[in-house]
Amino acid sequence: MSAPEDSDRLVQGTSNDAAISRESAARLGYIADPFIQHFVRHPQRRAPLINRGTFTRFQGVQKTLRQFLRYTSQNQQQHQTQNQVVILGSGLDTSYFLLAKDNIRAKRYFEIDFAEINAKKAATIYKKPDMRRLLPADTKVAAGGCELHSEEYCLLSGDLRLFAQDIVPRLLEHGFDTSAPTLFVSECVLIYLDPQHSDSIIDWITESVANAAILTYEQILPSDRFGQMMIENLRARGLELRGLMAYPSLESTRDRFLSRGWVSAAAIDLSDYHKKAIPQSELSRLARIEFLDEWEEFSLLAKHYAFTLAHTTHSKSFASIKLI
Amino acid sequence: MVLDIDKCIAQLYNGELLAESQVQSLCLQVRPILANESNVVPLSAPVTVVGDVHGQYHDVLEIFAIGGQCPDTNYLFLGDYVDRGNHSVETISLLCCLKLRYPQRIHLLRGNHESRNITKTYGFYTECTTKYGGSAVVWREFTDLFDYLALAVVIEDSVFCVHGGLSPSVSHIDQLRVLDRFGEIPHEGPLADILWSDPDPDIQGFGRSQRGAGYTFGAQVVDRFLHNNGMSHILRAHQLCMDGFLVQFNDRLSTVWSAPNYCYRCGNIASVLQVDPYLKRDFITFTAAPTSPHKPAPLQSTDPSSYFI
Repeated sequence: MSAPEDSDRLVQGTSNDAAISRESAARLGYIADPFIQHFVRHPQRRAPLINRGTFTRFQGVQKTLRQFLRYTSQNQQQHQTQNQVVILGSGLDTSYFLLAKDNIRAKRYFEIDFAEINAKKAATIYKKPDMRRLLPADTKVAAGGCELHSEEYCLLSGDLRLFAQDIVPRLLEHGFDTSAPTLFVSECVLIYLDPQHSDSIIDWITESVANAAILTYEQILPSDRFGQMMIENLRARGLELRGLMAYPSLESTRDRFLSRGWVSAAAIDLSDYHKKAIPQSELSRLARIEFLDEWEEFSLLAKHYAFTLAHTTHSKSFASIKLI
Repeated sequence: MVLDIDKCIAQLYNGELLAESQVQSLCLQVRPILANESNVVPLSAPVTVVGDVHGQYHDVLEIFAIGGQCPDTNYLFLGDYVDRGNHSVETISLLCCLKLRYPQRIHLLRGNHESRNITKTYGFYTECTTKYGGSAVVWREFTDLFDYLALAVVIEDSVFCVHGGLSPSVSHIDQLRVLDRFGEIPHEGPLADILWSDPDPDIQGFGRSQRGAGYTFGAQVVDRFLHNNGMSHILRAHQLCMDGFLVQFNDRLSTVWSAPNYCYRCGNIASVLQVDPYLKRDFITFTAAPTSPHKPAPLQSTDPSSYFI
């Protein structure tokens, strides 16, 4: 069994894998992300079904982010817009820059991950003018290069297992407003935590953030043959999907929030999302990029991933944010 | 060069790749054997029918272990020898060697992955250039050879075997017989259709396929085809089956899938289909091959990138 430090290192490694997948999809033209290439030293071309899945996942996350920022801006006076985004386990994600490039900015945007990953991210951002110029003018490097601070954008280092003790104080210190409408995003992050740790984060949000929404993208269905093989294969690489048995289904991922009094929770697997949310014109465009031959396999793989979108209050803004 | 075919087969069973020159000689000698076969090859039973194997070499060896070694057992492979798995080169090399050695005991049909374009995207090209020091010669030799593979088989005038399925352009098998098959798989038309189509029990006629090539076809199409051609059953592959096989349309059509734990991740069972002299059909299921100290270990796809979509 690997030591805890090894285990952390392996989980951190998944941010590199995710970046490589994203870069593959971007380079082939599935998605528009001019920044991800800066984070990938050794690009690899992923299999067509992985590119297709990366595209689908990207659509879900970007659409939700943009809807959140649009609706929370619309429903407030311009000069009073208060909205916040918190990316849990941000890895090498480029969403902040994709939004900034389109002149879309939250009042506050927080990214949280381990110091080791943030150090690499911050250094790369500073090295690349196309990202650096999108940073707020008051951005400062901090914590020996592992953090970036500004009024609008903060890259913070911490351990999500110590969310309340370690990360919350840092968020508050950097201007997090518990009364502002806030979208939390977790893409294949909470799943690596023991349920007690991931539930603690959700409990804190429930108790402390008046108007919260959350989008998670995590694995589901551990018990069928594919799920069993997935668990086994990842375990052989030292990766444990610690949260999977606790929240193994669409129903349980919804219930996770509904049982805490959140007013709404919707969940959809990636296969269904691909079928229902991606317009035919996009599907035709993708088919021209790469012929996807293995539909059964794509469907099987995609059924084992789910988006869950939940919110705590009945605000008009939140009700307008929909997965499909 | 003079090819010692038994030595080549032994080499492959021992986990050794053929040299580039051996592959060139092999393909040169197999080509006329394939070229002399009709588009639709008549076969007698008994025969063991194998579906997609996709470069899962150790599972191909397992098939021979459980189904009987060639030439003791007659084999019909329905295509898709390469791509996706990590040992496409060994797989196609062995099957071609066996074809050269026992031309009447093993028959190889073309699948939709026996194509230059598809193999550039789905792994065979990359595997060839990786295993042969950056050279694409082996890939070119095999993809040229693929142009000569037969399109279909009829077992005892009764069982129609093809990789994918049926075509709106082919109501009678004679229409397949007259095609010029010696070239790359076209994007559309009867040759493309029979390698790309899929059955759909929810429809009656032909439908649009989400694969982007071929069609879906339903019950009425199956019945009409069997009736027009005086056949009793359609055997095909092409689609992953979690249980190794799938029988549809009131036992008028079967899919056989022979790559267990496909891509080292799907967790599925595989099967081969034994057709006895009385045309009785028996699916033999099997799981992924155990590793053996005497054979090179199959590469497990424990690469997380297989999952973080």
